[in-house]
Amino acid sequence: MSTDLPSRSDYSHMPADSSDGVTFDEATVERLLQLGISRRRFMSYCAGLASLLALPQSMVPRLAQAATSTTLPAVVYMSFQECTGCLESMVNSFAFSGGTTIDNLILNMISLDYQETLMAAAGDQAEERLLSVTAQSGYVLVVDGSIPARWDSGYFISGERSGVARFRDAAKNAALLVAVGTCASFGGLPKADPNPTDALSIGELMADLGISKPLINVSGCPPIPEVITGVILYYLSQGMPTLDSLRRPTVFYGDTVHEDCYRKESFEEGPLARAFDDPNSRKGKCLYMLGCKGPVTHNACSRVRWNQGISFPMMSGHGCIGCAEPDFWDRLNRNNEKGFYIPIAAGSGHSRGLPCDTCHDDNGGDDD
Amino acid sequence: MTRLSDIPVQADPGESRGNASPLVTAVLNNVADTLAQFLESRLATVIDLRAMPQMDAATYQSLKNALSVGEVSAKVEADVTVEIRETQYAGVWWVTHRNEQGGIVTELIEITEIPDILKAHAIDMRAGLQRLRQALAEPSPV
Repeated sequence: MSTDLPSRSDYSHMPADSSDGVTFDEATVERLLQLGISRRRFMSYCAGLASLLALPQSMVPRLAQAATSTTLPAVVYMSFQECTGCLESMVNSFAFSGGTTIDNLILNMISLDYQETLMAAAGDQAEERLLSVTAQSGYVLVVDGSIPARWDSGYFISGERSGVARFRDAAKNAALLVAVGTCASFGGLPKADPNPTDALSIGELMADLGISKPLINVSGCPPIPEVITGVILYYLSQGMPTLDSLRRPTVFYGDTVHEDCYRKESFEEGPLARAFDDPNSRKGKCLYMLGCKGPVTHNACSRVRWNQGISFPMMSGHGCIGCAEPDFWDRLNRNNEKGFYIPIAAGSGHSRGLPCDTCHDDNGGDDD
Repeated sequence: MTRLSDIPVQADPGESRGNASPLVTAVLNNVADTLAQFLESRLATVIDLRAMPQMDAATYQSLKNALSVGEVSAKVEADVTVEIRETQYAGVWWVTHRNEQGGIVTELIEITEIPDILKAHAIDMRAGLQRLRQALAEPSPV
C-alpha cells in the first residue's frame, strides 16, 4: 500500500463554473464499472457533494477521480477516550439501499492501515501493525477521543503504553492530523467537569508535546457522517480546506445551526415555544427558550441533516445541545446555570436580534 | 416595542426587470451571458442554485417561472432521481438532483447542448455491448 498522498493539481486557472462539462475520465468510469456503481448515480452524488462543499461543479470530475483513485493515502485511525460513536457515524455515511454502497467506496478511498475496531488483528499482532505502519512517513493520522495529559496518571493504557506515548509516536511521521469528534477536537465529555483524567484535546496535546503539524478538527458528538467523509474527499481532491479559528473547515462549520433552521423565522418575530409539545413548539416555532444552542453552535446539521438528509434534532422538537462547540457539556447559560434545557445567557440575545421581551426575561440578568 | 418588520425599508430595485427580484434578474443575465459564451466557445456552464445567496422560496419560484419549461424532459432513476428539464430557452436546462427520500440535494442550471448526466459513456456502452452479445449467444428463452 502506498504511503504517498495523491498529488494535488492546481485548478485555480479554471473558470469558476465553466468547463467542458462534467464528463468522467475513462479510468473513473472503468473503476465505477468494476465496483458495480452506476455512473449516473455517482455523478449525482458528486454534484450534490460539490454543492455541499461550495465547490464549482467543474470540480465534479476531480472529486470523482479522488473517490475512485487506486492511489490511496495511508490512514492510521487511533482511538483514545471515546465511545466509538464517531467511527460508527463514519462507516454509516452515504448508505443507500441495494448493491454496492457508496460508503464502501468512501472506505475504499483510503488505505485504512490501522483501526482497532475494524481490523481483524488484535493484541501483539495489532501493535506490530501500528509500529510498522507509523515507521513510514506521510500518512494521515485520524484521532478519535481525548487523551489524559499525564502519561503516568494510570488512565488510558493500551499495549503497555500511555495515551500520550501512543499519540506522540504515531504523530511523529504523520503528514496531517485529523481530530474526529468533539472529544478529540476539544476534549468533549471526558474533559467535562471535574475532568478526572485531565483529558486534553489533540490540539492541546500537540502544543504540550511541541508537535507542529497541520491539524483539522471535525467536531460534533458525533460529527455528521457526510461531514467526515466530505472533509476527507475535499482534502484528497482540493488539498487543505480553509479552517476557522478552532481549526474546523469553514465549508461545514462556517455557519451556525440556527442560520439554516426552519424554526428561525419565529426567532426574531416570535412567538417562541415555551414548553416541549406546546402549540408553538408543534407549529415549528423557535426552541430558543427551551435551551436550543443553535445560535451559538457552528455545524451543518440544519443544512446537511442526519440519516441521509432526513432530519435534524429541531425537526423532532428538541433543541440543539451545542455538541460541536468546546466545553458544550459545561456551558454556562442564563443565570450561570449549566444544562441543555437552560436558555443561552440573555446577554447574548440583543446581539442576535432576539425580541426584547425574550431578552429581558431573566429577572434583570446580565443583558447587553 | 419595535419589531424588525416595523422598521420601514426601501429596497433599491436597481436594474431589475419589471417586478422580478434583483437576484432573479442577475441569474437571468448570467444565463444569457453564458448561453452567448457557449455559442461562441462550446464551453458548458453550470450555475449552482444552492450557491446563490438569499434564494428564498419566492425568489426561487420567480426564477423558475421566468425560465419556464421547454420541449424536453428526462429523468434518471438510479436509487436517486435526477430530473432534467429544458427551459423555454434551448440549451438552458434545469436539473434537480433528489436523494433516496425525494428531498432536493441540489439544483443546477446547465447551459449546454445536452447535460452530461444524460449522455452514455463509451466504457458503459462497451460493457453493454458485451452483455448484449453474451445474451445473443445464449439460447433465447421462449
